[in-house]
Amino acid sequence: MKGEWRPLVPEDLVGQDIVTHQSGVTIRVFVSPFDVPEGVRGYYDDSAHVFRIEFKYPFDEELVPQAKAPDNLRLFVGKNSGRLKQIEVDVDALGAEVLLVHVVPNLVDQAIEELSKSPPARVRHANYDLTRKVISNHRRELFDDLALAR
Amino acid sequence: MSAGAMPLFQGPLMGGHGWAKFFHWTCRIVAAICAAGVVFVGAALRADAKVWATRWQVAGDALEGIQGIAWVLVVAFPVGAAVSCWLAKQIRTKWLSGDMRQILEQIRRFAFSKTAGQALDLHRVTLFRAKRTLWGRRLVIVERTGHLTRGHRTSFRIPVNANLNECEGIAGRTWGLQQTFCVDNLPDVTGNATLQEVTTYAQQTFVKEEWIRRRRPTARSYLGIPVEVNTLPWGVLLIDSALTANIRVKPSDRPYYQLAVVALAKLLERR
Repeated sequence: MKGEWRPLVPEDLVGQDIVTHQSGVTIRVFVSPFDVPEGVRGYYDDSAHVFRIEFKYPFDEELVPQAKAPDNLRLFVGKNSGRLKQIEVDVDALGAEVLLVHVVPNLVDQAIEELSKSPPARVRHANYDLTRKVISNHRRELFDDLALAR
Repeated sequence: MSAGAMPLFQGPLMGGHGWAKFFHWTCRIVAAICAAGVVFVGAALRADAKVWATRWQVAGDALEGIQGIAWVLVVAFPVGAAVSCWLAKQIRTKWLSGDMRQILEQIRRFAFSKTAGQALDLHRVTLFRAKRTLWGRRLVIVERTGHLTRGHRTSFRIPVNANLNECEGIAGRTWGLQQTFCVDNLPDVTGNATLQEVTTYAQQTFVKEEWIRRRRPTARSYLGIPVEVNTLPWGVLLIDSALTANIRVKPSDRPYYQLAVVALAKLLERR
């Protein structure tokens, strides 16, 4: 079952701003509204045997897999925008001895951090930082389905 | 993201415009008839009227008549189709521009904390579009709230294959970053501003000092929001105010801007 989309809350956006003060002028840079997902969900896909986290944006676009991703993990970004749209974790390949609930979230976090360091043609640092924060804020609900992976 | 208790868009957004829609569709139907007419005249010219007359007298007579004025129809139908298409587009653009202006007006009402008793043009919302011009690619005004400065032709340079520092103005910087960009507490350069104030204003808004001296901008705070259409950069929504700390940018305010620019992008997709 794919599970329900969880809406983001304003708290997900707190702490993302880059604020500087120069000659008495305040400059604030923050994420574009188009980079803010409308919702997020995590579920175990029985047929593909993968755990998946998806981000829903106001506009759909084709998914493109990112070549540079750790083993057992695939990241998909939007073809035009480069926004992070989907994360797939091959939980079966991680091995039965691994405690998934602890390992998978960290793997996902590291993978997004890596993506930030080597972005595609379109730079989307703010989007990647935001998705990391959203996953961290909604960690418990998002990774609930990992229990079904065994 | 939930809109919460934010004011919703009101009015005939993406709806209404009954007469405009009627004329728009009438023009499109006329254009289709004219296009079909061109094909029909082409076929009539190839047909033999005498053969048709032996089978069906009326058809033969009609064919002869059409062939007689074919040179008029061959010109009239394409011209009719072109004019109808142009009219349909004009009508559509007109009603979508009305909707766009209404969205900008709704954003203006939300974006500013204090506007009571002040001129509308001191607190504006402007939609810029990236456009190739004779002077290179620039952000040009598509629509603006208020009435006093609507006719302004301000544009900002955003060269192709250039670095961020070559993008002019807050709008240009927003375009370059593709992130929301807010500048607040700028010095007042409308009166007898000192050289230091003009320099600070120019540096923090990414324009030349000469531009500031010539234009004397009233805005003391700006908020630039990138606008995408079909997931590609399209332009910038620029909110500016003559007061400092007057533009709402708290995280709790941002879902409204998301709603607004998504509505705007959906409208622009249909243009």
